[in-house]
Amino acid sequence: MLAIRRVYLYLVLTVSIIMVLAGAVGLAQQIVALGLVDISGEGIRRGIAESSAVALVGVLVWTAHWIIALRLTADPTESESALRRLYLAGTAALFMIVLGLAIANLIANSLDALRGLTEPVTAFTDPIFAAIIAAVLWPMTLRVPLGETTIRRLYVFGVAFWGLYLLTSGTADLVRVIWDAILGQAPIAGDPRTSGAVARALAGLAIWIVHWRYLAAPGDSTMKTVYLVAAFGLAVVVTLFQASQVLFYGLSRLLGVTSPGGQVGPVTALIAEPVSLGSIYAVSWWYHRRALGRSVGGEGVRRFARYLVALVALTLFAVGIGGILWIVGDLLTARASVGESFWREQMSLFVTLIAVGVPAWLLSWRPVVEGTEAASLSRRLYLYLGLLGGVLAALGAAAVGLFQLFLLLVGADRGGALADMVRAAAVAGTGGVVAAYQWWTIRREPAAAPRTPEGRLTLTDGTGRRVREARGDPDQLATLFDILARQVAPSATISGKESADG
Amino acid sequence: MQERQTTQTLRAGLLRGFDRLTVGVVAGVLLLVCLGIGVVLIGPSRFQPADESTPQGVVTIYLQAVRSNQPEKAYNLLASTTKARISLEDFTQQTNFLSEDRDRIEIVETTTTGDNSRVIMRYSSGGGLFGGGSFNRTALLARENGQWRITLPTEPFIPTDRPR
Repeated sequence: MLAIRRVYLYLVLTVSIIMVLAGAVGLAQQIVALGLVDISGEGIRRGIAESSAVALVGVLVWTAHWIIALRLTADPTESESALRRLYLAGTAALFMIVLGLAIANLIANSLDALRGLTEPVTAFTDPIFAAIIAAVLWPMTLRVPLGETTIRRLYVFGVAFWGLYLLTSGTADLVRVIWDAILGQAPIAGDPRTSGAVARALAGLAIWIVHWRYLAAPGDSTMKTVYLVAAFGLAVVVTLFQASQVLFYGLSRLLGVTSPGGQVGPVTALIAEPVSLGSIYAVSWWYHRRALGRSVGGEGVRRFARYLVALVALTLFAVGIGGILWIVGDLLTARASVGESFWREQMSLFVTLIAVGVPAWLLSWRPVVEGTEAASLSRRLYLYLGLLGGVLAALGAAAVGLFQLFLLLVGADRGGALADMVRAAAVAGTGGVVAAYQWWTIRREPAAAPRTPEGRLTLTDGTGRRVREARGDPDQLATLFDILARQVAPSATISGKESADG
Repeated sequence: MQERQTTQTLRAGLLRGFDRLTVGVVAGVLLLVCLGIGVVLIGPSRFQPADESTPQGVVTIYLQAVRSNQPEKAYNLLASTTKARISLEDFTQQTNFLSEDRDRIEIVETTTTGDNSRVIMRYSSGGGLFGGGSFNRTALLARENGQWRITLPTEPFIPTDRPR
């Protein structure tokens, strides 16, 4: 019941705060339009009435529910609830996003005006008012998140991630504009995409720097690591995918496919988007790899990042191998067929997956390692996820292949059974090889290093009754022992013990 | 055990730190890539040249002509009754976008009864190793002056009424 009440409360608060924001921005825009633009009549009056109603209802509903929410926070379980934290962090993030987008719009419209493109007055007043309202409301909501550590971390790293996305997408678009200008398709200044790209890159950069560099605190190690791993993972996936797209278009054309992926035009135009996106995300990959290395997580996080790349790369080139086997088998078994472009295009796709996947895998994977590395969770996850993926692919494909064989045997084939069987055999074979390689690696991993002796620290009261006990690294426990020895009441006693059995 | 593994490790170039099995896997993958490109370049030549005296041969030549932007050659393989429903200009216009088509087409069944024949084809579209779709389409042919000609092609769409 309490949970349902909480869901209701914060859902209504979220909806009503959006109403307040939308109503206030709309009202300000209508008033400006009334004063600056020669628009008179019913339209403006209706707009003012509509925005006023939305804002007023939003304020009333929000205020009533916020008072209830404040009263409920007297209960510690309520004030510590995840939903409340999520609402507070989400509201602060919402205002920051509105602020960021308004600033981006303002920059884009100003650049368009500088380039001589006529912009209506509202193109400037609308984002200005949206920015002012968001800037006024943002500190009010931000005050609470900054006071509570978990909410602040959620807010800071969530918004930093969004700022990073805005920065990378804006910069990638800018690279695309420059690329097209070099090809002579459109001058940079005359390209309608330039203003928006510059604006998003600048707004994103400001938001990302403020949140990532200044609002993130040194103690935010866990959330910071989550943020870095997410940003790093996204950068790895996007870079590898875009690199494979570039190679795909190039190789398809070399093999004589006129419209690879259904796209027509010169290959330099086809690769414009993957080159621009891939180059920016490659920079993001490099930056976040360095940041991960410097983060508190240290070697463990670096190892996680390396095995993440290895897993993505293994998936890419396993799909490439299966695909090549399929196309070769299909070409050798197909009856009189039409579709050279089909085979060449598919072959280009699979070869590019290998061309991207194999180097990335070789750079991140080491089959022979020392004991500590072999026992690491990241390596075990990589090995067993690869094994699981290979086994599942082989099992699924074997079932599909058997089904097609039965169709052939009972005479229920409608023409595609042989081709589907060849494809299933290729997938099953590749899955089997991947699973066998992973299993072989697992089998010959060196035995785990002997566990580090674990220390034990016991805190007892004056009567000798055990109050707390801690286990862990002996060095860290020794530090804790010193702190407790200085702070604990004279009546309490502490004892330390080191045991090798853990 | 550890020592044996270390001695198996290769120590040169990019593959430094890799064991023989992994190097073998990479070499095998590179060989497979060469084989794949070779097969895709010369593989289709293993198909027998289409025989115009058979219904499936006529359909194959027709589809190859449509895909290689030779509308006139394809048009000449249509039956006279079909030609009467579409002019060469309209046919050329309709086949323009088909020449970019990336489907794989396989003839799966041919049924001939007297001077009429039915050719069933399997169309498979792209979508990678795990995607893509397939469906069957049927072309109808009739013998005209001793030659097989298409009365109902699978593509392009030819209206059933006469042109104005």
